[in-house]
Amino acid sequence: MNTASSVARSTSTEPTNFMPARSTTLPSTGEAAVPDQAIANLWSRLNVVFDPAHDRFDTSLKALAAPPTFSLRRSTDVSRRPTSAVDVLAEWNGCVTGVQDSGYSFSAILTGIVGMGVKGEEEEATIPTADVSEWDKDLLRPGNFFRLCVIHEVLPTGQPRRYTQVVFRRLPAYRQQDLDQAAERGRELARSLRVE
Amino acid sequence: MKVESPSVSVVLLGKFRPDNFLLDKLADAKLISRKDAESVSYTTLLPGLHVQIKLAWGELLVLQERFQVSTGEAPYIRVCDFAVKALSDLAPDAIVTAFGINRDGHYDLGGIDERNRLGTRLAPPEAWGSWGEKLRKTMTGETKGTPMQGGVIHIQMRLPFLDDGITGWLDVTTTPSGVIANHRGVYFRANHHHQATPRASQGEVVGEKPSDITVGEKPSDITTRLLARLSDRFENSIAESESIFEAVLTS
Repeated sequence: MNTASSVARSTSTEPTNFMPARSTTLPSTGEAAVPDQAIANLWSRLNVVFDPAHDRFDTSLKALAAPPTFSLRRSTDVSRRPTSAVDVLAEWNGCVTGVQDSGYSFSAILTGIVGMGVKGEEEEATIPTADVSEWDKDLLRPGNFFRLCVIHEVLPTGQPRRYTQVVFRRLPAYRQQDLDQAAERGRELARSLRVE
Repeated sequence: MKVESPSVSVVLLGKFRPDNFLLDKLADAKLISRKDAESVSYTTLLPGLHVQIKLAWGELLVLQERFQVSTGEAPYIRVCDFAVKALSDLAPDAIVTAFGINRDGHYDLGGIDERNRLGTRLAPPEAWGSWGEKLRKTMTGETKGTPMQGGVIHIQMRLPFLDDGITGWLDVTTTPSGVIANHRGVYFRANHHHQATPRASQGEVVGEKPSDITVGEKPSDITTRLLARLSDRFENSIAESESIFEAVLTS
């Protein structure tokens, strides 16, 4: 038990254990119950709720024992609306190898990263350009990376559906120091090679 | 196993200038497309203090000491790519001191009995003496599945780590789900927290023994190191969190 919890034990009234279930609760006296006070005040003025369900019922002593690197949620968070149940059946890492002259499809090498029978597998594929969203079209060029996900979803109505989603990756630009380091690594590798 | 309201986020702590992440700048740096920039809008904009944008696939929040990207849609790598690209290309002066890789979601167990079985397995009432007997009684009869039922409401487990100059922990928390109806669901959340321990740079050794070395690394070097670690660890961290959730649910 950490220090914050120890202090809380002796001075606070913990929530009773028959409280209604809470969805996105944060630890009550745990590692990071509240964000920085200045942020909390700012959010309060903006009517952005840190965790309404939690705050309403929590009468325990709050302490900031560790930096909160979990995500903060707004009162209009998606988890409070009816939602679908989703399962990522497979995810492939793709690299574009060519775009057909007709523009209807592109070829790619796919490497499986998620999914039974998919992980570690390598495939060549032809993918319809229509599967690429409008805002990713400018990234459809040989050498660019993308992810292809096969998703099974059950809608709130109970209707299941399965679909694929192609999303191009937006990676950081190479910096000069990265290029220099890569060149140096290449030179070291070349020096270590022996030709017999 | 199917998950409802899944969410993946990356949270970075440090020093940021929220104005570096306005929509036009995101589009100029190709973090989002120009069309995307024209179609989305700010949820909150306080110049210099607070930028919050609902993107087509997720949400961005930038405060002076916090940078957060989240999504509920696969592929989750987008949040990592976005954070690394934004901080590398748009805000090279940003300082990162810690980051967390977060995964959460709600799982439907099928019924109150199944959820009680999970709860009593994780926190046996018998471990709580005579009070535990009272807790156990409320899980049967007319109090079962009502607000008068007792039992575990929050469990959090932590595994700390120290790895090549970076310390942190993986916290996994479970509580009853408020999203899945009829007391059938549980909520899981993982926070994989990383923070740098200062490393001496070459020529800046301040003591004779390694344990004396406490200063030397520049904040920009720490930032670079943490962002590199974020890229390296992101997908394994998400996969590990998911496998922990499933192991708890199925063991």
